[in-house]
Amino acid sequence: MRYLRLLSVFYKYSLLKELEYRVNFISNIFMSVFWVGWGILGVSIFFLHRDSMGDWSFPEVLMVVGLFTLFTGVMEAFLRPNVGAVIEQIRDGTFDFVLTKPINAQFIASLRTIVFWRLADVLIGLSIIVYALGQLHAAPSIGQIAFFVVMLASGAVIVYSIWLMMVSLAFWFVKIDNIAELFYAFYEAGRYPVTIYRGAVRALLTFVVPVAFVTTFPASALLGKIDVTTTLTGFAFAIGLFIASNRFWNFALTHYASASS
Amino acid sequence: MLIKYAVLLRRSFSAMLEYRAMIFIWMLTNVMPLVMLAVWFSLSEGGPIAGYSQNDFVAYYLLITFVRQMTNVWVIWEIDYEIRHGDFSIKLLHPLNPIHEYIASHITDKFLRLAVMIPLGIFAWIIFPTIHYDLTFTTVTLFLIALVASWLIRFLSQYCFGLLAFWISASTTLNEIWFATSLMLGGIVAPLDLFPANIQLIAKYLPFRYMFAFPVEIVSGRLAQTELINGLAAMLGWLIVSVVVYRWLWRRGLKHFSAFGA
Repeated sequence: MRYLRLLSVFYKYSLLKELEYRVNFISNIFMSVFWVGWGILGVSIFFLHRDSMGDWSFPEVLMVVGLFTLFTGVMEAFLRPNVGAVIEQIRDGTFDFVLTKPINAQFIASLRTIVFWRLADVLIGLSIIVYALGQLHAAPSIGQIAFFVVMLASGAVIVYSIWLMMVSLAFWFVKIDNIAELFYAFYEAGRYPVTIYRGAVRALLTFVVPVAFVTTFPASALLGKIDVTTTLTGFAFAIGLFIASNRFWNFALTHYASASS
Repeated sequence: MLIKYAVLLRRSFSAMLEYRAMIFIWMLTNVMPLVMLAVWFSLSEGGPIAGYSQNDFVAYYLLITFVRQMTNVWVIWEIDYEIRHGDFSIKLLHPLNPIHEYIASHITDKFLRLAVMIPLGIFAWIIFPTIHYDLTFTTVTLFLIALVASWLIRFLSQYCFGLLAFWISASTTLNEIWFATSLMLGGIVAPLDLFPANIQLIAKYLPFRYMFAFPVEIVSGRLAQTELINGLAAMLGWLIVSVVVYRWLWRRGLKHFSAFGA
């Protein structure tokens, strides 16, 4: 309860700060729309030549594009700004102030700020998913929607865990600003259903950089392409990764050496 | 000028060798052509697409990955940072146009990237022994010239966007749109041969093809002689345009900057 109240204070502060730069707000939303259009155009080129991508039709692939956009929004709104802040705090030693607060350090370090305009990507992503469902004339059953929600939540937990592990690395390497770029480079592969990739690439995208769990599997759930076992595996994987990332963060904390003397 | 460059290069070499690991990570972030390769590779399992077999896709994308690495540009982020933090004014006091310092650090970066790309290239050749390029003295020479020209067009266009920061704050956003368009119409998302005919025609007149795809097309053996000559002419044209726009923006920018700096 106390944490929820803190969260609302944090977010209110972030919103106020953002409202000072309203012009940025508009140009940023324009960029979100631009990149979505860019992504859909790219997918259209595949469908100029083929009727399906790894057994997925155009509207089905659109759904993956929608999820890709949605999770881009989630990461850019909730995770990236905090990662940036923590790296900077570790570099100049002000991370001391995070540690001395009477609340959980992981909570404050990973959820302190939010970039509101990035929630536009979440909305755009959701609209694409709804549009794709319309194109498919598909009305998902209650069961499919339930699977979808579970996979969506698992996806959110997975990206949170990945970002937490990335920021933990900063306790050793300090200058790791480009690690987020590296992750995004691999996340790019999540624009398309993972079934399009072969062999080692698919395994890499499922288990090493688990983007498949984030973009492909929720779409499969909504389309009725996966069963209970896969859904539960995804959920278990998310929980496992969350625990592992929390352990890693706590281990990394013991390596924090402040910045002075 | 040569002596000045020798000094600049030596300086940036010693500075950048410190950040070897960083450069390697930055190199890894350019995996997008390989992602596109993986997609086209499995899409073309059922037979060639617009004349591209699986083998052709491998040949095309491996070389465009090389072109992208060797023409990599990041100068706008430095200009943006330096203008905002006031370091740019200090550079203006130097007796040398700051562009030369940026060029030197980009050249250094290319040597370090080449050191990684050569062994990777040999490795790729071992894994895919069947890939084939049209390698004659003429095509290889033209490839190397086109590679340098691609880099110059990418560098100068990004530098121009960087200079816009003298006037507007959205210069990096404009550059982002420019870059995204170059990925699409420059042959990274798909070889230009796979686009609808009218878009292909337009792409031949736009600068983006000459930022990535054109050097690869030269050694692909797909260009008829007239197409090759037209392409070289268009590339030269865009190179001249880039230089002219850069010089114009630079002169205007300096006036504007000193007017508001005084």
